[in-house]
Amino acid sequence: MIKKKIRQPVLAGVLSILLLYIVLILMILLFAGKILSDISSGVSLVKLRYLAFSLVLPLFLITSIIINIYRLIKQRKNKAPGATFKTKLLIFFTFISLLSSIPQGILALSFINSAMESWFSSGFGEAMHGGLQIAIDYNRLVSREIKSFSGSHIFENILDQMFTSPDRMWLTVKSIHPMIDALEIFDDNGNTILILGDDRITGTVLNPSIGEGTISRSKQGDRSILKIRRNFSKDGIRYSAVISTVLPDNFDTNASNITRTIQLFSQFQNLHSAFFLVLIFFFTYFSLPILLLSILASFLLSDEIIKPVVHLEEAISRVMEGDYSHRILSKQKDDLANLVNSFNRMVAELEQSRQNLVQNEKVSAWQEIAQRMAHEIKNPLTPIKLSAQRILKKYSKEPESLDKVLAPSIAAIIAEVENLTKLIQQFRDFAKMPVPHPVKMNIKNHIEQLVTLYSGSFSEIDMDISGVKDISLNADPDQLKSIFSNLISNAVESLKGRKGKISIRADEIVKGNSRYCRIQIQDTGTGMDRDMKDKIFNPYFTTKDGGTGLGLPIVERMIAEHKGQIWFESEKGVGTTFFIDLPIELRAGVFV
Amino acid sequence: MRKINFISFIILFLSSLSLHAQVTNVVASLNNSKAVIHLHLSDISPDEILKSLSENQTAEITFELRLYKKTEKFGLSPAILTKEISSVQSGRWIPVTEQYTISTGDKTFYYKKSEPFLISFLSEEFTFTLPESSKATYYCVTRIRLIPLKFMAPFNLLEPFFRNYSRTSPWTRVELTG
Repeated sequence: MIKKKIRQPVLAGVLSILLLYIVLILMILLFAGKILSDISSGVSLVKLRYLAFSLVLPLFLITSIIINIYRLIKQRKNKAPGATFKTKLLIFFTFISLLSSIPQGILALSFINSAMESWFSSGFGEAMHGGLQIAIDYNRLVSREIKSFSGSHIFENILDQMFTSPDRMWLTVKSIHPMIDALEIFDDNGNTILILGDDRITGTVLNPSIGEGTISRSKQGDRSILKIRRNFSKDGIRYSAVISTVLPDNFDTNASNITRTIQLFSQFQNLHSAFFLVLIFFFTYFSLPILLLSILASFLLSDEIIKPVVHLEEAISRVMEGDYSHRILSKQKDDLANLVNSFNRMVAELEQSRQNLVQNEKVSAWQEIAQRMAHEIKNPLTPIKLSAQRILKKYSKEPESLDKVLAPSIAAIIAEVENLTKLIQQFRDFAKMPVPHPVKMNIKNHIEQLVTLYSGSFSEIDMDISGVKDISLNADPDQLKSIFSNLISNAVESLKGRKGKISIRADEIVKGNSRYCRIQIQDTGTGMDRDMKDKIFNPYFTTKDGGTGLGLPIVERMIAEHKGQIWFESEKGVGTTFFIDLPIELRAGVFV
Repeated sequence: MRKINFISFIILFLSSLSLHAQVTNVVASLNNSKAVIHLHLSDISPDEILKSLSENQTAEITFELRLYKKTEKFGLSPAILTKEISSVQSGRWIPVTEQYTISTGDKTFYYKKSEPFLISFLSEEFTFTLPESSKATYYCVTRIRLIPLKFMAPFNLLEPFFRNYSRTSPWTRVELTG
């Protein structure tokens, strides 16, 4: 169930990126299918305005990336686990995306540019202009020739034969001017009276607007026909002759094509710089969303990559805080599964080792306690035994003077028994710690009350509690009083009657997911050597005359019962600082 | 045709904010449901067109007409679009034949002189019949879009970057009354 919950955002992210990718592909297909076809067909690009709608995608992507970057900056500021690694991954992915897209773009645009440059080379333009000039010259030549012929006296003389021998007349015309393909004669009313030559191009309807000598041009299929009119009189009657000549097949179409190609060439010469810029614009327009999408995907991917590292880092922190029960859940077949499994095994072994160590420490402690107990019990037994033997000896040898030794011996026995009773009571206290009863209490008030007692008794000591914050926590006030009394007494004794300072501060700190109250008790006393540091929490270890050596072990035990921790820093000749971390939100239930 | 380099392209693109005011002259007549709409673009410099044609380029003009039927309904759209017609004419100069041509659809018209060519090129006539049974009144709106120098493929990709590329007259409304 937990895994399912974890995977849901990842799945949503993958689906979102997939959806955006499909949108991008559709956008490119629309451009390729609709707009590119319009470009190639040369129509006005009205549909290009729809591209403005596709701006939504890059804008959305940019917004998403900005949000993700903002989150990343925030994570880096808060020193969130894996933030630096994630930043490096993102820079790497972005760099790779740019590395792959920029050369492609340069290659594609260079290819288009060089292809266009080669297609529309200066030689190509010269050839087109030359071809056009040839066509113009040819058209002028033909026009001039037939115009010259129609206006000549030779043609006028030839026309005299139109009724007598028309075929001969036609042969004469063709022999003089082979380019002429047809000859039509019309009467004054415009009626055709004679057709000679290619009858497919005849059938001219005389246009009154076209006067004599005017070249008219008509099209018949793919053929262009030049016609010229000549008026003449024969026997007092007015006639009109129309000479037709056919230009080579597709002459006009080819000439028009040459003109169009020159038009294109001219536009290329004038617009290719701007065209290249627009190509770069369109390339960027469509490649930018791909780049943005890959950056967005890299955010998702980097999250996935760093997730095990983050879990590992969090787990290490938990273990460092003493939580050996923490384990990392890893997906099967994950590349980092081996690392995670090794870590879990290591933590399990650490927990086992710690339990063994605790057990061994307990056994050692009890062995030491037993030895000390035996020693402590043995010590008073000797004076008891000696006192008893003294009474017995006196009684057997001098019964009359028994009263001389009886009282002091019995007094010595009673004193030693009382010592034994006291020793047993302390041992009982240590062995059977009373159950703490936590209540809501203010640490500042508590410490202030306690310090007041010491300030009155030790005027040579500067007691500074200005660093104690106003913190409320759940704890047993009696046990806390005992803890602080013990530590402050130790601090006072470490000053050995000299002037000095004892500083106490209390701060709220956060460890993992829990809030703690950290209390520091610092003195400027004699400090501890290394040997002493290793033993101060051992039962019955003491450096004080008449000390039982159970004070600090009891303090440690009480703090452990409060789910807290105690440790210290000390330097010989400088002083000692004890640190106590007590959980703030500890409920009564955890004590029982 | 002036060569456009990088800097001049940017300048042209930025300076193309100025709009030219063209006017559509519309003459409409209605006779027995037959409507004849004559459109002509005026206030245009013919030199620009002729210069473009003399450089072997093509000019293009698009005439658009929308016929609306008036309704008595109140609302956002008090008229119904009944008919939409458009006509595109391409003008060229053919140096071989030394003729101006106007191509529209499959038809090509030839002109020896520039004056009749320009008159014909900048004009169009739409003829259509209104629905007979209707006693409704109609009006039409017209617009003319002139491209003095038409970009050929693939350079038509540049069209959106030249706002001065085409000159479009505002929509002109004409009532159709018998």
